Amino acid sequence: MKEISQFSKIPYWQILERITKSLGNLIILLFGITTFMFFALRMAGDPITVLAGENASVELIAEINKQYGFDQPLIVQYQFYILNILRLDFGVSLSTGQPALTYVLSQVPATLLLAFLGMSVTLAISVPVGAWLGMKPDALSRRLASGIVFFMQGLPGFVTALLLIQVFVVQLMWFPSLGYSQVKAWILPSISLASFLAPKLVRMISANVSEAMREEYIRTARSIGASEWSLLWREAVPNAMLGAVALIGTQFAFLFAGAVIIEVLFLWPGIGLLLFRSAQTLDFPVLQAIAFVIAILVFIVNSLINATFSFLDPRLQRNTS
Amino acid sequence: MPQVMCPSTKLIKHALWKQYGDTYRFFKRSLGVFLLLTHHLLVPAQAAERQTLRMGITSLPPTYGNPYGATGLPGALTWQQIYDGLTELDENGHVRGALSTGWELVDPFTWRFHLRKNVHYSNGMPFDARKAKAVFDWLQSDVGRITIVGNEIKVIDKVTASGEYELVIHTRQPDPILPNRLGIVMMVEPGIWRDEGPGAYSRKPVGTGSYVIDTWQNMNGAAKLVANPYAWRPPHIPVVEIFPLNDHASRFQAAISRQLDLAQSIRPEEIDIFKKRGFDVYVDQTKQIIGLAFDVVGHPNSPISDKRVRQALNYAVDKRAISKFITYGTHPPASQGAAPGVFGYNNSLSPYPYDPEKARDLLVEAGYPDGFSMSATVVIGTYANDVEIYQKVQQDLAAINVSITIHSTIFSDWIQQYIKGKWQTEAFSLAWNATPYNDAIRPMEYFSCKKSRPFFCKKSMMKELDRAATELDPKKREQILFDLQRKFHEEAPQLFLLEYGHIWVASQEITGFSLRDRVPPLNEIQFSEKQ
Amino acid sequence: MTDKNVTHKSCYKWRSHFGVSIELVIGTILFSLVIILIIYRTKFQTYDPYIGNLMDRFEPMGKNGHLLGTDNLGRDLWSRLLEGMRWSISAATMATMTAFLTGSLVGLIAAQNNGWIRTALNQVVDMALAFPHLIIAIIVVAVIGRGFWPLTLTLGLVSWPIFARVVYAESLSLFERDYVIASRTFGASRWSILIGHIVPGLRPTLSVMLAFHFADMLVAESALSFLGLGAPLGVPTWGNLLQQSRDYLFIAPWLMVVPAAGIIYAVFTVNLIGDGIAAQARRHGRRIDV
Repeated sequence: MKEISQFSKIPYWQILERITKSLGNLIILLFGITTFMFFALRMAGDPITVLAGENASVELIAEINKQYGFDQPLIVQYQFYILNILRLDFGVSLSTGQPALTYVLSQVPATLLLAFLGMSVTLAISVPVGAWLGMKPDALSRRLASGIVFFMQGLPGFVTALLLIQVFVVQLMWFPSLGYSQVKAWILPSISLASFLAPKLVRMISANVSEAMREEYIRTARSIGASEWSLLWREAVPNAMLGAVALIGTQFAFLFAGAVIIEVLFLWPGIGLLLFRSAQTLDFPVLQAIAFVIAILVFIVNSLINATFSFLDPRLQRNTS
Repeated sequence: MPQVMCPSTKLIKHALWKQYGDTYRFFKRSLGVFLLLTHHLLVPAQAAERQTLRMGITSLPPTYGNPYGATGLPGALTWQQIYDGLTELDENGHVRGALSTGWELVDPFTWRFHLRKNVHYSNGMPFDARKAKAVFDWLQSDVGRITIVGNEIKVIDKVTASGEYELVIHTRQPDPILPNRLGIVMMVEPGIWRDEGPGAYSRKPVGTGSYVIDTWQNMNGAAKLVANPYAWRPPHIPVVEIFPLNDHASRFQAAISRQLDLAQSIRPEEIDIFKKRGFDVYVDQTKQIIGLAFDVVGHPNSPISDKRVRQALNYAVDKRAISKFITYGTHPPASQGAAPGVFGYNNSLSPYPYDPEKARDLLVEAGYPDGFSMSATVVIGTYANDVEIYQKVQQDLAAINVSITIHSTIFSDWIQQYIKGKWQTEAFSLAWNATPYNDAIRPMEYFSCKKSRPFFCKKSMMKELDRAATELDPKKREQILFDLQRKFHEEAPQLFLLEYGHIWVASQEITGFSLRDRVPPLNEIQFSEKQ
Repeated sequence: MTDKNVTHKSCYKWRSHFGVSIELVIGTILFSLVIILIIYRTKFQTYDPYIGNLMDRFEPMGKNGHLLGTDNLGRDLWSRLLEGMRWSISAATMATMTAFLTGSLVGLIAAQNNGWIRTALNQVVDMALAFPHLIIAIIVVAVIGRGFWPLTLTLGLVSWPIFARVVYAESLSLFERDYVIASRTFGASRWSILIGHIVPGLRPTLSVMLAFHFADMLVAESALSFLGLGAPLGVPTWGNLLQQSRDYLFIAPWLMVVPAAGIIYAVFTVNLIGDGIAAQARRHGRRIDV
């Protein structure tokens, strides 16, 4: 039983076992997703007519069928499809003719940037506010603030985005609302995302913090004379964050799926915008590739977060099995 | 949720100070940090030297740089900046030479085109008759024939290059609008096209137009075009960003907040707002006739198969009110299947007047005194105000006891039914679209038996349609078209509604804006002197 | 478990009197306002929600007897709001019910059976959880079209794994409780254990989840309608109203403010109810994390 470091008491073969197990899960997941997508989208419509255009003749349609292979029986199509997936060939986008997977991957960086920005602003707001709220949960100012946070939880994210655009872009013209080429253009999308993600996180952190601050060891330290501030930030908040890991993971996963509405409203060229556009044209290969890529991204993010926190949390390490 | 608190009067003053002191310190520190991090963002940016023209449109071409996948908008908005055809339409809708300088009819089946000299592609290669012929040959090949553009020029039998700048085109039947047709055949570089294939070519197109695609999507979500160093019509502004803003609200927001210099298709109610903010507003004079077409062939037992019923529906809808109250007069009522300025527009016809009495009488005559119900399949969002227009149509028809249900669907579903000729509803949204030829015959052909799987087919009109398609004398042809317009007006294969032209806005920082065949030629635009 | 020395003098009169937290009461009262408006909407509607007078387009709030103004077709916004509320609330209810029933069933079965059923079901739940939600919505709309049942199907498909997972985890821990093991050794049948112990044990968590999930479904419906994947066009649900208001933000801002306020209000009241139930459960010693 070799130890990895002073922080981790997990033997290395257990780590390998866990990684293999999750990778196995991932593969099953991807298989399920792609199979589902294949059958579901075939039921959904007839994209060849989008290609054929207004005045197409029967021969035109037949030719397109042959070119794209839509006239083969379903099972044959499926076989080729699975084989292609294994070679990472998702076909070409029905509208642009570009290989679907490269097309989707080229949009990923923008979404990653948005996810990173959104999460940073969310954490930057949630952690201090959550800590502040949890510090003295019964104080009047805290209660009022909690009320405001509770209220904000009910605001749908795109409503805030619409309001922000209306006020700051259209009326005041302070910020741009298109793309991400300037830092100024990063502000409104991040704030919109944060306004939607932060309330839940704030409430969770403040609940955890107030619970942690009531623990025995904190009270002991307080009676010895430790300052409230250092107790809060050195002990309570880290514990609170550990408890909020699951929520952060979920939120990150949501961001990686491409916060679609935000990307559409701000013309942010990421996966979400691509998903929206492909939905309107029913671009099969691209939709399949997007499902695939999102599943992988979400998996990576979740694994990273879980791994990081299990490294840091001695309690979780004890429960490995 | 904060719990209800009974105020404890003894401690209140002390408690308040304790609490607020705490809060005060906390926020003081956070504010300091926040300002430190972000102060530079709050300082307004310096106005940079304007180098980039920003245009907002509905979308980039779905087939990117492959100009044969579609005709008309939205593809043409980009393609006409990077490609040229042998001909093009001018501001008044008349055909003139682009890559050709002139042409003549040698005999009813043969045209001779004189090509422009000293034209080069964006990679420096010269353009000549040989290249043009190669393009036409590809469009007649097995693969090219099934593209939309290839289909449109299937009347061409053979193309020969009889000299370095002379092109001879043979047609299968006399085709009076061949010059118009050639406006949609964008000249790609045939060698590279053949070697790389349409897919790769469409990512990095090579054309003779004023601009070249630098990237299809930059960090602003826009396509970036730069000046073509070899352009025969060099542009004034060196860089263009084209923003695909499909939904109208985003386009409006981007335009009104000055993030765009040009925006396509805004709504009539916004005209005043733009004018107040210092924009110029243009209504495109190249118009389509929007309305609800009737699927007569597919529903032979429905009331709409009777001409009188179709006329009744036309009388029942108050088009003037729609034009005045919904579009604020921007789009006049339509009288026929063409708009003024289209070759073949018959200006002796007027729109069906609003006459619900007559509509009811016609219905009684046709045998439907109690009215009937029907439904229509429409695509929402193609035209500004279309929701309002269809709602008004619904209301007006309800007043004569015709209950019409409007099913809205997405474009891919609509086009599936259109191509297969299988409509689930008795009516559907379809416009008479004379572009890209600006000739009335084009929409007439799909409102007739000529369309594959037609929805409206009147054998008695076919002979005249064929004559209009092959009559080479313009005056005679115009008469035939006038007559056809009158006949279509009476037959009413569509519930004629409005003459619709897109509304463009241009900021006053640019000059030289005009619309040619619904597309602004960006090479003619420059930044105005006063900033 | 309650820490009396951290909370100083606060007023718990209400709570200790009625045994019910005040959030729950306020939330229920406010939400019932919504329900009353829905049930008796025909009495409250002043104009026809579907037909508008084109002469009265874009009337601001309060003019001409239009309580909340009119929209681009001259339709009264107040009447439309009431009309669409019914649709939104019933769609959210059906979605929550579907997700709840499916998810709880799966969770219970998985918790009960050891062996391959459990692993298989867990796999399915994991897979469903990781499936991108919007793609499901796109597929459903592409195959079936827009409508009430497609929307319910989408929302149900997307959210049932949440219930499954929570029910599974909670039932597992409940099965390990002493009194359950004791019942089993005494020969109680599976069914009686389920009904007598597990289901009541799940009740607090599930009630809170139902409330918050319902609020989430309201927001999800509006988001989907906003993207064109939810309610069909003709129905004035909050989401559709918001979507249609975007074009007129400059001319008629009330068209956006009113449906936004409606959603916020409904979600707020339901969250209150959920929080109230959670507070009550906390009082009984069970902390609920959703």
